Amino acid sequence: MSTITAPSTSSRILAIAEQELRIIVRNKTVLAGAVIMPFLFAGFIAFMRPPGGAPAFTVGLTSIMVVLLAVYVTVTTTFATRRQELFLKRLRSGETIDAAILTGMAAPVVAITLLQLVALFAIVFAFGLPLPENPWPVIAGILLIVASSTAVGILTSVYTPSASAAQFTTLPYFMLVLGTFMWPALTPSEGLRRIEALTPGGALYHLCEAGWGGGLELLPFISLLGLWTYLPLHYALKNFKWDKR
Amino acid sequence: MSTSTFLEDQQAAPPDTIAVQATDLRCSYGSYEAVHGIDLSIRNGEFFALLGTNGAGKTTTMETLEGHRAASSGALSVLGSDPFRDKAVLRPRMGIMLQEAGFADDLTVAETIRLWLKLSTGARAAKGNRTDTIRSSMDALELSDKADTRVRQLSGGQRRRLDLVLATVNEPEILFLDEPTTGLDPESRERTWAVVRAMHDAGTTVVLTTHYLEEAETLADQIAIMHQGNIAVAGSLPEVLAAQPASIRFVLDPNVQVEGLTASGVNVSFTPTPTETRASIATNNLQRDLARVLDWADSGSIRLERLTASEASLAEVFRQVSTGTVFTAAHQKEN
Repeated sequence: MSTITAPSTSSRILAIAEQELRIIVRNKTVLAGAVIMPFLFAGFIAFMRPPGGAPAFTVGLTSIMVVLLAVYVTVTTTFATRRQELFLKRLRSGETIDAAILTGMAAPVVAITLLQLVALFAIVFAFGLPLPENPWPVIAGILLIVASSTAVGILTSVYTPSASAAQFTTLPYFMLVLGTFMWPALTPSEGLRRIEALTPGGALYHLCEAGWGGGLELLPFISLLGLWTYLPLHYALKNFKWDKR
Repeated sequence: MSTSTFLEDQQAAPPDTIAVQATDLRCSYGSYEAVHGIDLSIRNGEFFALLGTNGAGKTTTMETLEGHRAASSGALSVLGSDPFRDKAVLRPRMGIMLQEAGFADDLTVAETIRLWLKLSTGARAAKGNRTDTIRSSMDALELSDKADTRVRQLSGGQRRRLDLVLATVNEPEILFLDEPTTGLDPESRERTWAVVRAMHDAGTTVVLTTHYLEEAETLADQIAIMHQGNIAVAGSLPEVLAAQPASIRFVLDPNVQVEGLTASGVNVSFTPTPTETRASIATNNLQRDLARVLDWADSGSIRLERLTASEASLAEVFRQVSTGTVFTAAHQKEN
């Protein structure tokens, strides 16, 4: 007779993540949206060497496109779909705690994105983009924008009644991050610096800049992106809907 | 390795102990109160049926017992714990079949069960037993030929049976079934009940809601009928029925003189139509009053057309509850 032990939280997260990965691979629309599209799009940007073509700008913009499409939009769509299917409600009727359900569902999307970024930058740097002198601010910035996009994606899903509604509900944060990243690069006017530096895109820009010698104080930007992760996540968990009603 | 078959590891709880105890339980959605202070007492090993019209508060009550939502006030204990606060302790001991819960449509039936086993505690969910468990549980509900079919392609009845597989694979001590057979064909219903009955026989406490009154009549030890957020009637089937009068009905020729019958002490009411007179008797002593009716008819050589005599049925009690005719103390307590 086998002994009865409860599965650990980590093995439950793994089980949910595994099935979620399986669904992504099976569903051609999700696969295209989460993997193929962002990769092509970001690859295009990276090789275009956009105007103002500093490596910091290229790396930052490439990461943003991958992260917004592959993490932010996909997390929002996935959570909205699972809620709509009442699969979230099902998982919640079992033994798994809420945090483990959410972690397990988001984990494969994040993992796929990180792999994409590694692959993409391996190619881009191999084709001659100068490597950062100080890689840590860049890596921290990218990881934090991944975290923030995951958190805001979960939050956005609360206000997204269906997968197709995600086309609209994801626009504000998408435009905010993209716009505020471009802002300091395109209009370097000192007067607006303080506002711009409070936004996730602005913070990422400065962290990327620091990688190629822009010696700024980094801690405020790191804390800021941390806040752009913590606050949406906190608010999402407080208001999370497990049921479609 | 033990290949635990469907029920052999089931541990029966000690008889005559309480599984669910609710006192003045109230449940609200914002300012709307769906359950107005109900009392429930369900014993371990009992088969309890919660009946009521749509919107009576059954599902809200069930979801509160399951720990999906917190009660807004009142005391509630399920298997000795608070189902909302002590979810982590209780869930491994519960099986829950929600009225409506979905699946990930791109997973197959076997994958769905395997995922659930990986999330569940119990001998049948233990790593080495999973493949056997998946096979035996699909066999029990005739889903075996659908093992590799995506859930998206299942019929409504097949989805409902998969629901039951997930609710029962962890061999729960208490099983909550919220309308488990709605929309099922008679054969699927029979299969569902075979599985549930076997679990109940092995000692599992079952809490059921259903719209099929005959299911409650044949399966349940205890019945409660809810109406507008209150429990209107509760007790064992005989107790619930005993409160209701039996009925005798027949049809007479409109020219028949009925004074003799009225004089015999039978509480009869007549509904005349142009072609016939319909007679209806409500009685708490069916045998005595039926004899009086037959004596009266015999002595006057009167023909009783379409004669029926029947004990009160659950359907009749239910009808009276849902039209507001029957209320117990539980209702008056409110406000």
